[in-house]
Amino acid sequence: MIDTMTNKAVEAHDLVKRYVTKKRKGLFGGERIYIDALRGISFSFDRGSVFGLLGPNGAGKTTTVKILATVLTPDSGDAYINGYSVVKEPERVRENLGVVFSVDRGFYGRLTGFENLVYYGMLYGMSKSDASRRATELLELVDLSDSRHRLYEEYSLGMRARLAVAKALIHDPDVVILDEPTIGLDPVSSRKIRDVLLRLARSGRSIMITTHNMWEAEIMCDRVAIIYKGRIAVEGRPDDLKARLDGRRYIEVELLENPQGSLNGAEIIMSSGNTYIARIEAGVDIARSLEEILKQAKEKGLRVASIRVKEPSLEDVFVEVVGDSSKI
Amino acid sequence: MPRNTSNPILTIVLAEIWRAIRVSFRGFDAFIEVVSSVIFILGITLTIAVQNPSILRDPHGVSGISWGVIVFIMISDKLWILGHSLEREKRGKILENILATNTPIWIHILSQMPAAMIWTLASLAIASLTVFPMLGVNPVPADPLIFIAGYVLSETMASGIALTYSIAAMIMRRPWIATNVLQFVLPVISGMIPYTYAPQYLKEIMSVNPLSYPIEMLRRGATGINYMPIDPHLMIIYSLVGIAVIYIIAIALTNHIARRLRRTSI
Amino acid sequence: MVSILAVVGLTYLFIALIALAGLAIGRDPSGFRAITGYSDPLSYQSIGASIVVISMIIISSMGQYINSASISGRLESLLAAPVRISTVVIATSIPMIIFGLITFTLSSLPIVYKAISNYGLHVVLIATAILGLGMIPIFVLGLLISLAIAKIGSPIALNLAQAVIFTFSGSLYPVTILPEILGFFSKSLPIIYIADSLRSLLITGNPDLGGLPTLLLITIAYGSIGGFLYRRFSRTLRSGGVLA
Repeated sequence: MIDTMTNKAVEAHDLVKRYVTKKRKGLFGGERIYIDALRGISFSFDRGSVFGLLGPNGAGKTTTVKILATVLTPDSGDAYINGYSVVKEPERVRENLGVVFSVDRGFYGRLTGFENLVYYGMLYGMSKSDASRRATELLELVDLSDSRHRLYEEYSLGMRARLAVAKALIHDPDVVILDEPTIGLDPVSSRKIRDVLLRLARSGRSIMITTHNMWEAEIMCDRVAIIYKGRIAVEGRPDDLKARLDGRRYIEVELLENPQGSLNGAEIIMSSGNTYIARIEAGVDIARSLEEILKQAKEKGLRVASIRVKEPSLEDVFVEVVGDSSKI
Repeated sequence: MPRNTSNPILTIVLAEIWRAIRVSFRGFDAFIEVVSSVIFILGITLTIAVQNPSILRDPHGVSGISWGVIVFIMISDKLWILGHSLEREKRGKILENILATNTPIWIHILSQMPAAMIWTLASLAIASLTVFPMLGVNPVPADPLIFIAGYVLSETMASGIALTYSIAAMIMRRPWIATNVLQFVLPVISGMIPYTYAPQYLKEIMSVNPLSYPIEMLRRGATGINYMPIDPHLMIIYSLVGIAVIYIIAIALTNHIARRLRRTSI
Repeated sequence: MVSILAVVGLTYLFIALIALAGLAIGRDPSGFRAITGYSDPLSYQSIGASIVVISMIIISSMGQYINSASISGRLESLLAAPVRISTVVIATSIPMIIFGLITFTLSSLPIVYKAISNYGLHVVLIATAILGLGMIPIFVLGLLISLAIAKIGSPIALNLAQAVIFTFSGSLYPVTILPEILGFFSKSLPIIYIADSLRSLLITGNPDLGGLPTLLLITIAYGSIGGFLYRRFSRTLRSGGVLA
């Protein structure tokens, strides 16, 4: 057991996980296939913070979540939740951790939202009355009070996602891990989930989310790690990671004519009807770059509808680290 | 927060039983399911009895067959309800939520036993009021005490077998095929056909099959007829020992599979 | 392929268990003949078992048609497509009927072989035609059940349908041993006519086509009711939306 006085909510050390599966050949034959889901990942984040694990599909995010939740054992390495080892003390980990594996399933369709929460509360050792009280509080928190007595099978996806968050909190854990909590949700539902999570983080809980919504990670997370092909590619604060792009900034110009190579270094990133958006990498002196672009546009007779400076985003970092989709 | 109860295992057991009963008996589905079972009791009894039509006029003969069919329904219910529970919950992503708690998987599955027992009991009750009078069978057990003991022991043992089967059903690609086979084979080797009328090879299988004994108790209590030549006290001992052995194996296997699931992923 | 083999295997298992039970209680061919007109319970019930199993599978598959299409999102794509749903349904029936014919032949192979030897191939061909025709109302019955399931919102009605098919189809025993009102209900199901015709053909070599007009009437009746209800259902879906 690691020191429970540590200020780290989660620490992962050299986690390795390999899956063995079978590629079927004919009726009975098969060939063993090995999939290295995690190749020795390490990361950590402090208590009371929000951490994001970003990565493309198949990178190892869900495997990481399952290991931290003690639903999967690592082949080697260890992780600590609130100082408790997932390998040696899984029971203590489960008491300290709330987890959302899937936003659209994981509950009994024939039970109401309220009953599902009470059930899971009791599985965590709560008495029925305490679980009921807690369920009522949480349904209020996630704005499902009006639907508490409706069957889960009647819930929309947004409602199911909120119920999943409530379930992760039923036993009042210090650490909450959510695997793609806003996937497939509309903007209103996504915002509701984010608001709940941010409120929880402000109240001192430690949150970890996995996502490939970069904007969401950027606004929510204190620290992020990008996982790719089973390895942590980069880890740090979003601002620090963006700074890795050597302060690269872009200027986006909206033109009413096709520039057709008239602007130096311009890349057309979008066109619609007679509108073209060109992107040009800005120099160190932003003002000078803007001046230069406007001058070129005027000389070539190009009408400028709008111009803006674009800071590097986490998405740019992600793409830089992971490469474009043809390589993945 | 969480553990504020003095006996968390008892809380878990109660939670699971409550959940299983609520899920099983919500809405009209349970009623329709029970009615379906009753209709099957009538159909299967007549399918067997028609091969010797004179039995249709003999209440004892029809009674013997009907109780055999009820044994079939009882075992079939356990295999489909308990036996497929892990596989169903794996598909519904509930299993990983359960594994993320400290709930032993065998308690999670077995907790459905009371709901499954109520199911069979309801089928029995409705059959007693409808099908039995139609067939000329006396629905009142000849020896209620032995009948109840036999019923409880049969249900308990069948649930233990279903618990073991649930692991296989979760791993198989097409578990419904195996369940369809097992739901016929298991009752036949466990006393669906009364011992007295069974062919010799079946008698020998029934003698070593622990499930035959509580089922014999059930039939004796219902009809008042001794089919199997065995002392009642021995019957109870064999039943209890059989239950103990089956549950030890079932729990050990379930714990092993839970550990394996954690290694290889759900 | 696996499905066909599984169904055939289960049918043989079912027949074996009926036979074992018969052995246990002691078969009485003369008593059986008195109530059925056939002296061999095994042949009688083998044909019946094959028909019952196929019927239950067709009912089960078609019974879940709307429900599974709704859950998978296919139903909305169908409604948005230029093809009529009735065309899709008819097209779906063809592989189902072929499946039923193959499965019946394989699961009644000993009886079919004996019938060919005793009476000639033409008897089996007529039986196949009757079975193919007979599966149409079963198919339609399955679709009617799928409407009921869509209405109730739960596939539980399938269990009830299968219990009714098993017990009241008249395949495994004559409906005359049931109380009169239940026997009357059996006669409104198409299966009894298929079973009687097939038994007559394959066991005795004599075509008993007396039930065919009734079978045709039932097919038309089921088809008409089904068509009406489906048109209504389709209108309801378009106005009220598809609920997954």
